[in-house]
Amino acid sequence: MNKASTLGRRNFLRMAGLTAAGAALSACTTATSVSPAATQSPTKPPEPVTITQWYHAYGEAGTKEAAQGWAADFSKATTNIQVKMEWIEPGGEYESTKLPAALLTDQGPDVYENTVVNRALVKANQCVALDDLFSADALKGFNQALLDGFRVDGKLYAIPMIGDTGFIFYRRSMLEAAGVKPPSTFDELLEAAQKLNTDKVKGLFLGNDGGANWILAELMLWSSGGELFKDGKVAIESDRTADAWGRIREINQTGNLLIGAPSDWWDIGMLNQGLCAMQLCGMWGYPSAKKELKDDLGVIPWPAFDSGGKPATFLGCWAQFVNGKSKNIEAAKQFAKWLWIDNIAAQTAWASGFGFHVPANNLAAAVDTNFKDGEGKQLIEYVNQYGHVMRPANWSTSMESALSDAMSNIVKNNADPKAEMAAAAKKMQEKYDELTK
Amino acid sequence: MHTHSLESSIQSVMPANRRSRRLTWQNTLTFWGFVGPAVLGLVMFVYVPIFWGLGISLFDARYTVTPTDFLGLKNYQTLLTDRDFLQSLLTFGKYALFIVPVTYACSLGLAVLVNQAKWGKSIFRTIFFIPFACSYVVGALIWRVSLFNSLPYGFANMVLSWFGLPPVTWIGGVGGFPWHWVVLITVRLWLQLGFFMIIFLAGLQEIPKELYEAAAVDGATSDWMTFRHITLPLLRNTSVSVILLNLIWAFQAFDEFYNILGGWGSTSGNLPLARPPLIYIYLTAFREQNYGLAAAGGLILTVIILIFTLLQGKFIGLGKAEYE
Repeated sequence: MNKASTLGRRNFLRMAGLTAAGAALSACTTATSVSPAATQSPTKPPEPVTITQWYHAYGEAGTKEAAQGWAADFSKATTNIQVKMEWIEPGGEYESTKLPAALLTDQGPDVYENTVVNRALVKANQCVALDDLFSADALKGFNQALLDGFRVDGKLYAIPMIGDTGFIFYRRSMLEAAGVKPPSTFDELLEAAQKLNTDKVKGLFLGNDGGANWILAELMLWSSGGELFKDGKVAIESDRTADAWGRIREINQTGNLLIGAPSDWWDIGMLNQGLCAMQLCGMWGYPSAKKELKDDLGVIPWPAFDSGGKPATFLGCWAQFVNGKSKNIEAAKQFAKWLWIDNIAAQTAWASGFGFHVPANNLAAAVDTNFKDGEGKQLIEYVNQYGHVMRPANWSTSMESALSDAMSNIVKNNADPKAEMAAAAKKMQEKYDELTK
Repeated sequence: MHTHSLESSIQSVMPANRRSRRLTWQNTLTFWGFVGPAVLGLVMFVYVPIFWGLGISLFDARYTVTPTDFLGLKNYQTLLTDRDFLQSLLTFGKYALFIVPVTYACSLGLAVLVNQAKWGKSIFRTIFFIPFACSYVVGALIWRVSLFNSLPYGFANMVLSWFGLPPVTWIGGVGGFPWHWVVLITVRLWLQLGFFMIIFLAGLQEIPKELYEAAAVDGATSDWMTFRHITLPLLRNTSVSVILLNLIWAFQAFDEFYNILGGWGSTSGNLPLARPPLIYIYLTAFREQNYGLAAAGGLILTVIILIFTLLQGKFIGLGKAEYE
């Protein structure tokens, strides 16, 4: 037997194994995000830096290119800051997994968008205070309710970008055929859903869970005259709201709701395809519905609970944050200010050029032709009159879960609305105290 | 004269000390060369997270995995007094109690049938095993969006209409029978039965044919008698592994619950309908970003699985000799 070659084979395999292990290890380390030194004119004073900006993948066509364009414009305008825009797919996982995971490490984005901030986030150094970026005039120009949602301990931690809100979209022809007028109270909504419900077309679509979630919880709260917080305490508990929450169970039991649709409430396609006569959907669905249904489209806010309440709509907001762990905080702040405070044209385009959102900056809304007249103007008026911030200051996603659990137990498990409301309020108060005390 | 072993051949070429040290060194290097990468992966992706998780479960780790506020056992206390977490443990208990015997019976039945097939045994084996290769997420989505969607022209509702029955709201219905369990359980059975069937097939093929012949001679009249007195007892070890594996997988149920009842952009209002502990922990970690609480939940779940495993081992026995 040729022992020399046997040992040679073993040696080879051994070395190959070690090399593979070494290669795998070195591939695990990530490169830093600082670009190499510039090779242009030697008289360039500040060291060139590259900052990364993250967006979640917006569904509307053209958004990615626009964002890339603005990043490129800024990079050209300032010669030492390069902005790398990253479009995070899929959009639905951005807030729940991709962004939080990135922000836990040191390699997260320098500038990013998010919908909520609270003291725990600030403490974990995921954002920096941005008060110094706003001039007094600029600060006044923004939607104050939205700004308040991003204040922690008196400091402002984000620049609101766009507001999202929702309405009930309906087909006029179907309502006329059934002899129903657009509902202005919850009882009328119940009745309309009943009359509009046929074998082929369901009366109303609130989502595949039948509305047993925190968004409906908030809508019913506001439309029955309640508030989320008052004077530092959770203020949701009231008999009227408990009653209102119970009515969602009632509307589920009538069987007039569309349940188990291929997509969920945020997809206006359900109304477009004629699966339902009315649908609770976000304002982002307006362009698609308008294109599909043209004059047959009607839009109303979520109706008042009864004659003593007011219609309501939710106001969620994407805002621009600067990462506290960023290695280039000043550059990141400069970019955030350039785009989301100063660049009114970009903000206008972002709000209504591709999808349909409420510009967070009223100065942008003022020049946006889409909101000047007709239905666009009507929608903005609904927001101004009936809008409530869905994630007020010191909000935590566990509060969303508390409300969703309460609604789910009431609607699906026949639980007592008052007991569930008390349990949810208790959980919310505990989280609120953790974040503010 | 001793045999021409490798060592004796090397002895003739090298001096004594160097040779043994060199051989040991080479053997060690070979060993680590092959085992090293796997051990490294195991340490980095399994052991380090386990101990790190144990560590942060004792801290207030919100929005961070390097926490500084020590909480002691408060996270555990919070979880064990949380109505929703206890509810999820109960849900899981009921789910396991149902799915484990059903999977056991169905896969054993399938294995017996396939074993007795006169022709096409391997074809049937393959057909039943293929779903196991399918991802749980894909299966769950197909079940939710196309088979069991509640529209009148969803597949299941269409089948019902052939029998003149009205369409059913499979997922998210209110009152009446909780149909979503039908959806959840059928998808898991479809995905899993093939695997356990293969395990049982292997066990069945171990049983010597002579036993059946002897039983026939001794007067065993029905198939059921031979099944009960010969097949089942001799499948004891296989049964134990199947039940154990099934129990652990049921405890780790996540994919089909998350994708059928919520997840992927929906508002999760249906998730509380049937929320196993792992989903609760996942949401705590990633939606609420309370990593300390979630780590505590993970440890509680591990302890529960461990207790069940030990209990099962005590009652049914693990790996005892079969032939009585």
